[in-house]
Amino acid sequence: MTDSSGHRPGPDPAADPLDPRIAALLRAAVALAPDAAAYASDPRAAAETALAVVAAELAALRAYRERTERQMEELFNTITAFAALDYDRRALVHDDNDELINAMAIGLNMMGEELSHTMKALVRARDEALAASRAKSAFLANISHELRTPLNAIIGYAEIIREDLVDAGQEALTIDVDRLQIASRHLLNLIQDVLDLARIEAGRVDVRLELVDLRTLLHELQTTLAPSVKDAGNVLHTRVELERPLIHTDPLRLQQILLNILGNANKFTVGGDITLSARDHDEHGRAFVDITVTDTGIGIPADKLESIFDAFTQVDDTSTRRFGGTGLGLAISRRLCDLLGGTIVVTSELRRGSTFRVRLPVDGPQPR
Amino acid sequence: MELREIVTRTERIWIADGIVHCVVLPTATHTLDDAHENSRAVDELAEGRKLPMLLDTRASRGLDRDARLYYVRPEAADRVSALAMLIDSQVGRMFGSFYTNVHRPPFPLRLFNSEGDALVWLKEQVV
Ligand SMILES: Nc1ncnc2c1ncn2[C@@H]1O[C@H](COP(=O)(O)OP(=O)(O)O)[C@@H](O)[C@H]1O
Ligand SMILES: [Mg+2]
Repeated sequence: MTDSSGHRPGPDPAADPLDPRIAALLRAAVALAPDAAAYASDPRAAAETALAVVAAELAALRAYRERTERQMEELFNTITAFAALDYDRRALVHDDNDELINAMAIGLNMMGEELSHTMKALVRARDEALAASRAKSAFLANISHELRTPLNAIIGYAEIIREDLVDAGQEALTIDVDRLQIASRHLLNLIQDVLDLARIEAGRVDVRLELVDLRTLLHELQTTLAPSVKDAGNVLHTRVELERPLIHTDPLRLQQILLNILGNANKFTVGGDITLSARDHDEHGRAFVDITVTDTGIGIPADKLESIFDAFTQVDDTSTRRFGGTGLGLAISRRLCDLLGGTIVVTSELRRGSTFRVRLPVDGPQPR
Repeated sequence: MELREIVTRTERIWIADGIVHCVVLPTATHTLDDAHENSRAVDELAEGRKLPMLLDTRASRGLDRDARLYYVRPEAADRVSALAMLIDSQVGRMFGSFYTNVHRPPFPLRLFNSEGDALVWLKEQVV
């Protein structure tokens, strides 16, 4: 065999002067699994060996990748289950897994077990707390009811005793009976408030919706409050500017809310003005009415504007002694507003006065 | 010194120089039963002594929660004076981090990358 260039073909391929491009290819192949000595003696054979080694390594690598993918898939499925809050899924740990994969699987399993355990403990604790809270509210509702009955008897008998004393010409002694009555009434109010709050928190308050004419309701309120407003030397103004005076709400609950905030306005204002106003309000395509009570009284410090809505919270701890009250009125009012699908908010300036705004949806609370 | 060794389903356990050596075997996930069995084996070898322990978890296949809690229950401190965990592996690191952060044992615990360092520390813990 003679090639066109006239070179003599040798039996030993190593001795063969190679085409430079082929030589470069062989060298590149051998470089993959270099064996310099073998290359010098037989470049082709060295290249073949090198390629065989590379092919075997590639096959091993592919098998490794497939295995790793399977193992990763297992971890992935576990993580997916955890992400869906299913903490009871466990990743399999295999002898032929990579150490790192097994370490991750073991770690995931421990994490799942701990999370599952913690979640169950939290749910149990929450359920127990809820049950305890409901039991407390139910107890309060019951006990308040039990307390009211004898108290009403005390108030009734005090009234009878008072009349008897007057009849017997012992009027000087009625002062003590009056004190007894005042204290009993205060206690009765307190119990009534506690009962209301407990009922609301126990979910035992039903809202009875009806079509209510706000003009009438507000007018009646004004009449009810007139005597105590006068006693405090205040003046009550009413401004009703309503295009749609009819709203779906529970009139008794609404009265309770407004009586409380009007009562507060009157209590914390002396010789000032109290304004009860109502106007339409539209928001996000829904119709509301805003009922506001503004007074020119002592005002509320900015840092107390939220906490006064908490149960048993008053701006001034001496307030109960000075102004009476229990600190439950606004807590009840806010919860009732909630039940009516509305909101109650306050703005105030110290020594200038306060404004409470009740916003109610005209078509009643949205179904929950 | 005579070297006695007990091999349970999940661990190989022996005592040398007053130190309990536990090597976790790659057999299975530790259950509460395994934890009982391993603790009994340690008791038997220790003959009532309270000893420091070297733990090699590198081949571990994991252990379930009951087993984990059993190993670190308060009474475990009556038998183990200190624990050195080898963390020169990924599994070891994970257990090391778990027992330092989640379920702390009732006895001193230190993590080591080398068995030599671990043994030096453990020798100081012999009571
Ligand atoms: N119009 C108001 N002006 C000033 N302070 C007010 C007014 N309304 C409420 N407050 C403050 O909020 C507190 C809580 O009110 P409330 O819940 O009705 O309880 P109470 O009237 O029984 O004290 C009051 O004690 C008072 O400190
Ligand atoms: Mg009040």
